[in-house]
Amino acid sequence: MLVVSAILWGTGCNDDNTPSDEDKPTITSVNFLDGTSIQAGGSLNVRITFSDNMELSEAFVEVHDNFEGHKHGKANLKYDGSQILSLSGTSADQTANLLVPNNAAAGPYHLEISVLDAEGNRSDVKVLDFEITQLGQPTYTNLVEAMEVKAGEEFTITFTVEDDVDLAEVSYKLIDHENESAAPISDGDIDLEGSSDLSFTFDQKFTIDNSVQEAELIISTFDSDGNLSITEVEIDVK
Amino acid sequence: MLSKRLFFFFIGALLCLASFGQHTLSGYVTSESGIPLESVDVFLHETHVGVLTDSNGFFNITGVKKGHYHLHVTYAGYHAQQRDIDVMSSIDNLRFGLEQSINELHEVIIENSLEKQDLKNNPLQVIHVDAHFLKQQGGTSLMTKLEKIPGIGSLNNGVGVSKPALRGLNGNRVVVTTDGIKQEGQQWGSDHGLEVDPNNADKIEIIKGASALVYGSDAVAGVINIRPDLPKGKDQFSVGQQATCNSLNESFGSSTYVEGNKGGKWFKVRLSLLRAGDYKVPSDSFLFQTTKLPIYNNRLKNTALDELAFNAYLGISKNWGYWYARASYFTQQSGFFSGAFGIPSVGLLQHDGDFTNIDLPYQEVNHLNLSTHANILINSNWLEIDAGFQRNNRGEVAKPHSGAFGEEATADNQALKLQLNTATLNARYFVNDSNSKKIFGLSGQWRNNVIDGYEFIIPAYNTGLIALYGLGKTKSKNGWRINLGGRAEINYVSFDSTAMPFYRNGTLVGFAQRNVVFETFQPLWALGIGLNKEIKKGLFIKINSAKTSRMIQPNELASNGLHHGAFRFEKGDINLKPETAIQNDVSIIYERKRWLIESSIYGNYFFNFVYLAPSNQFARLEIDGNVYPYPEAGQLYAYTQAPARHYGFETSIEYKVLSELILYSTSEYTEVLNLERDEYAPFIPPLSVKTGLEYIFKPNKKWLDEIHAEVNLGFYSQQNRVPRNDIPTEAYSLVNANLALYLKSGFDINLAVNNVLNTEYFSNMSRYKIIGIQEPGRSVVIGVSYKLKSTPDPH
Repeated sequence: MLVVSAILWGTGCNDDNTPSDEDKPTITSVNFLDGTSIQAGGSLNVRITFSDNMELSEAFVEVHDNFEGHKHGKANLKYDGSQILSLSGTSADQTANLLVPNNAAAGPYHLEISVLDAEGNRSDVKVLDFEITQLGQPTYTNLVEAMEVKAGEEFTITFTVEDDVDLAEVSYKLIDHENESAAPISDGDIDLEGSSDLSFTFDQKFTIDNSVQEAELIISTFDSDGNLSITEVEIDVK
Repeated sequence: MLSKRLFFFFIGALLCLASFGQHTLSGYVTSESGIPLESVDVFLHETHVGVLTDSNGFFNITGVKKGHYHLHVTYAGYHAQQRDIDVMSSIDNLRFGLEQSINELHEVIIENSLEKQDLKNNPLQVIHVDAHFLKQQGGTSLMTKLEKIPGIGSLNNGVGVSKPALRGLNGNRVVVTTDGIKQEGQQWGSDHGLEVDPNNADKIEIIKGASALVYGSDAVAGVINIRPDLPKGKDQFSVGQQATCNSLNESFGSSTYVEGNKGGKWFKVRLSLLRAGDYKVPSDSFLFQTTKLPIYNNRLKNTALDELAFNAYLGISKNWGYWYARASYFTQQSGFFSGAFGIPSVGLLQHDGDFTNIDLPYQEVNHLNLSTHANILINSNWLEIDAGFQRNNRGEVAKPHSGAFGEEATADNQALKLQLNTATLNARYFVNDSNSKKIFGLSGQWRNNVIDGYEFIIPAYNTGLIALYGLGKTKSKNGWRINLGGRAEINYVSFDSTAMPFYRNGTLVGFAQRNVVFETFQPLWALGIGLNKEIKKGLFIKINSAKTSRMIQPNELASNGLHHGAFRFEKGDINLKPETAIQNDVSIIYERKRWLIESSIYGNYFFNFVYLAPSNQFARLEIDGNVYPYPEAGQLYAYTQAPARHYGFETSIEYKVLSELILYSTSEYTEVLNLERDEYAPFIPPLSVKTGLEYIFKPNKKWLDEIHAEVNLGFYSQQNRVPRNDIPTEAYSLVNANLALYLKSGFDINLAVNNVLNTEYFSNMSRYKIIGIQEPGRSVVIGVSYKLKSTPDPH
């Protein structure tokens, strides 16, 4: 057996060691503005150019929600669109056409693009953000978008949120702008399910200590159709 | 009526036989220079009976029947000895002269293996460790505690889940046994750890190299045999308790046992608990592809875990052998790092105010093991039987990533739910002649896997295997010990087709067939030859060569889904053929005076190595002839076969500088090269050299029995030998230190500092490398254990 394996070993060694292609394909350009808004029922037309040193194989364009696990309502659905594009050659220019259905829930979404070459080398994932809007999604009124407060002193944030059908939930999160991964300074959910609420007035008191210089109140409102509207209040702490 | 009479006649006859022809084994144990050694453990393997020597070094085992036995003689600080003894009548002149040992790894256990071969007589490299060694090491899991030993590593998923890797291979190519029964728990998955209570692992034997003959076709890279210490001395009773804290994840572990042996009837019960919080890393951010993401307070969100393990044994030792039954239950709930499921975002990584909670997504595992073990004397020879049932439940609880699964299926967030039921029967018959030993074995296994959950990764399946093997051991005229063996087995695999609903934008598109109906019988055979010889005094050579074939496991045949643990969509292939290899090992051991040198090289050629090849396609499902991209899955990885080479070496050099001080250095290298694609396998450890100083001192103090202190400097080279789309790792150095105090009152105190220099590094053996998460930084582990025994400890 030793002899047999020595022979096999030898044949293995005699392989011509042409270095296999390990260069990743790349996404050279994407004709899509990060942060774009698109109305439900419209379409996403994303023109992308790809390149590879040898031969391109496939690209993958995918949309999924950025609701961070939250979900409300049944009428509108979190949209997942995706498309595989067949590619060839060392460079390719293609347009992904993704139709956003009429009943796509309004809210923030990701657009992710990646590409493979013929040897299976994979590019990094390119992530772009965009927003889907619906005519009937919750809207904020009387909201001050930026304010200045004194450290340690109580202040009030108030605004009204309205919806054409029914509000389902208003949640808020007050975070330290410099330290976004820390636990929120304050957070909470206001459940409005059960009754028909066309309007809700938010009125909450907050206090921020002097360890925070800049804070941000992130307000997310779902209507019972599943549409999500997010807005922010910038708070400067003096 | 007649049958009842017959029954009593039969029992009566057995009792007569039992009382007939009882012999005594007695003798003396001394040091090499002839000084009597007291409290030496003398153990008759076949009947599980242990005695201690008295102050004259005298021991006496009574009630031994005619037969072939072997005695283990073990004493801390000395080389253990084993001797084959043919008992025809009483023997009263047994003499054992124990040699002092320089290596503590070699001293305590003689053998654990199913082949009953000691270290030097086994043609393969075999390593033994005991509970003391494990307590000294500061790792967070059983496998990380073994990493000091060259050739042994672990594939890690954070710090709580680690799976064994031998010589760079893992999963379906490593066999783990507990009490002689192969552990079955979806070990194919890289995120699936070992469901074993580390506190119950008093004796671990690691066999490196092809071990398929006895352990089955999966034992390509080797075997890890885990056994507890069971009470062997007659009329003893002891209780023990240990507590361990680790600063890395602010964990607290506790383990309590009670054991007793009254006239050869014995029991042991152990309960262990572990609670750990989110673990710490040196960095406060990580780089996922090109995005920098925060790690709040240097703790990885949602990596906390809870563990509970229970083990119970009940046994009897008689002159016809022994029998014992075991019941064990292990359960673990561990969070998945919030950044490791899908694409991480700042929002998902925000601290939730609690470092100890386990939130979605998490993994839930439990493992039940019921088994019975017997060793029975038949005509001077021994029949060993291990039979058991295992139930492994593994669940992944996570919110669906997309609407592809439908509302109903995802209501309970149960992504995966796998239940694997395994029945095992192993029988080995040992036949001893004057100049040869033979083992005839039968192995049988039946597995039934049931699946549930809204995601699909492997199908529900049944597998079965029946194997027959024979192993002969003889000694040639010029002193070579020759082992020759063969194994033939038939494997059966079957599964029904599985169809899963697929939704797109809230509408049911249809049912996607995830796997087809399949049934196969795979006949396999293996052949092995092993040679070993003591060439000169203290110089041993071992040569082992085997032809092996590994059964293709259901995950390799029929995976077809997103494996979150591996961050990829995996697809099996029902056309894969058994993985055939020729495996060779050569080891040299030299032990003289102050030196202990061990070196092994191995070279394995696989005709058709199974690996996951990154394809040039994205994951997709086909429904009614239409192709749909699979959401959030990315690239499709397909199980493929290609010729491959697996080779490497391990060396270990120890030098006793002073009687209390040992300097050691170990090194290891391994490589798996796919010869068709000229590409390396994933998760292969880099070349490493570990150098250390060990101080073992027995002070003449009333309260202190022994001090053990150790410092270890490990150098790990860069690892550029990675497959495509994987990330090479840079070189790094690690310093680990530990201190153990063994007090005469029965207390042991262990202190370990891992990664003393708080080195920031990436490990090629970590699953989290791919998302840019570094390995743990400095941590301190403190352990205290206490043991109260009715008779003196043989230690």
